[in-house]
Amino acid sequence: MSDRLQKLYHPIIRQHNAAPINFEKREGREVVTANNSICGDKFEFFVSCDKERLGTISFYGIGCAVSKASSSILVKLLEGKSLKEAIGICENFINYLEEKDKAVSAISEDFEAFSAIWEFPQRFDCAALPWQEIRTFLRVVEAR
Amino acid sequence: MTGLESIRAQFPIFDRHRDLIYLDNAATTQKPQAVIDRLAEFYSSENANIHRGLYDLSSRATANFEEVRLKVANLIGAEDPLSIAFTKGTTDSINLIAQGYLKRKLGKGDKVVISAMEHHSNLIPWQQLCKARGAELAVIPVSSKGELILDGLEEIFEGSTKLLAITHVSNTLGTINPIQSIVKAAHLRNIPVLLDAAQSVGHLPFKVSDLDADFVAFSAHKMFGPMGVGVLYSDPNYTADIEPGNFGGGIVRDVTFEDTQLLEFPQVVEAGTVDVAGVLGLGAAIDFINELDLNDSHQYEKRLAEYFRDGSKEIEGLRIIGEAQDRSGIVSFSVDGVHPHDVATFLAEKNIAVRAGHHCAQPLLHAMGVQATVRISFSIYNSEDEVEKVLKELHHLVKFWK
Repeated sequence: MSDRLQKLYHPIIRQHNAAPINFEKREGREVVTANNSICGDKFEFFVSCDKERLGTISFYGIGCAVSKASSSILVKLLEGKSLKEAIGICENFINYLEEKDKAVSAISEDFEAFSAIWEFPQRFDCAALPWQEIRTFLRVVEAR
Repeated sequence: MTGLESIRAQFPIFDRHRDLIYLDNAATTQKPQAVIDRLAEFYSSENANIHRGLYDLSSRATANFEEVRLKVANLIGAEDPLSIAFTKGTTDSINLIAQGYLKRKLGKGDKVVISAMEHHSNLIPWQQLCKARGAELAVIPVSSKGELILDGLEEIFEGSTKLLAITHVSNTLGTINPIQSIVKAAHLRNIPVLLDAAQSVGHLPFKVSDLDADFVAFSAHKMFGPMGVGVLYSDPNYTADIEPGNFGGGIVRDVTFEDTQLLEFPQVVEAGTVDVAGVLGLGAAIDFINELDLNDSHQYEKRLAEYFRDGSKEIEGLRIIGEAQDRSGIVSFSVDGVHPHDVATFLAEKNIAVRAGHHCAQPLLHAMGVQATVRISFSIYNSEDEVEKVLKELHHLVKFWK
């Protein structure tokens, strides 16, 4: 087991992969799809929100450990946040993955669990896609 | 040198990457030095455009190019080299038949039949054509073992079926389909058959006269040749019925502003300057294949796959996807609780190249009840030792994820 792999499959990632937060379909919510057409992975997010604030979020679907953990952490960090805050967190995380702003890891130790993505560029989408899709959705809600 | 060593020695990639265990041969095979050299040789000392050149270089390039047509015909057991057209690959060949042959013949209420095992490239061209023409796309279903269910074939063909498009070997499960009997059933109803032979030509003995398919599509790069070159074989009875997908130079007899008289197949579908070097590279790949015994190659690739299948039984939670009776050197599997991408990343750390995902066969995986698999596909340069290394890593992986 290489150090690189140990780092990629950080304990936080493994924990969220094994026991993801709110991993269930919910009726009557807005549905946001994170679909990676390259690998066929697909998660659906079931979001309740108004123009100001996010309520609950759940998600369901199939994906690798990295994408599942990333989605679970998204739920953990964004539930109950204002749209503005939530968009900011999405941006921070995407910037962190893109190595634009490594210092933002201070915001959440959960971010740091994904630092190995810098060494595994093939896995960037696994971590980033759910956040990119939710960010797009939140911007649409904001503009409604 | 053993047989295996002398084969490996012909592939420079294994010299440049000493630790590489390359098990993604269904995506593309590695290239022997002779193929690589052939491309360089053409551009270094033979480069000229083919056809109509009155100087020596051009006529020699033309002759060499046409000689490959003959080599391809011999390889697949086609009597007439003029039944062989060069394309950009399997996808291009299939689209050519969809647009240049079937489009005119397909109308409302007609049917195109495919199997549940098709690569997207032998599915989408027909699906989109059927949608545009108001025709129906009918699908031969697949069993949980990964074999085509042929009991209902008569019913599926019923009505106005204009074409059967089917794969010889599944790129995902390794299933070898009983093409002869399927073609026979189609021909009883005068239905022409297109065979996707991307995973079979160059891997196992292939005789178009035995299989009796009317159109055959395959790619050079999956049989040790260069990328970007493929073949479309057409039964001579159908060649006059194939219209070009592209119009341009090289396919005409006479042109005025009012009209154009086109050449015949195969030239008529080879408009513009084709990849001459690539075609010559395909010729070199065929020379390489002719040095092998394709029955031995097939048995060898299959034996490695069986060795993996057997060894994988010891691995907790590993499930082989596809247990067809007749199968090739391609194996798909899943590991309980570990996504295929995570398996592939694990193996990649040990320089083991496999493919994870849907293998461009999403509907098939859906029918098999999985979203994605890990796929291992063997070639003649792989070894039992490599299989053992993969199995060892999979043991480690299962332990780690437990």
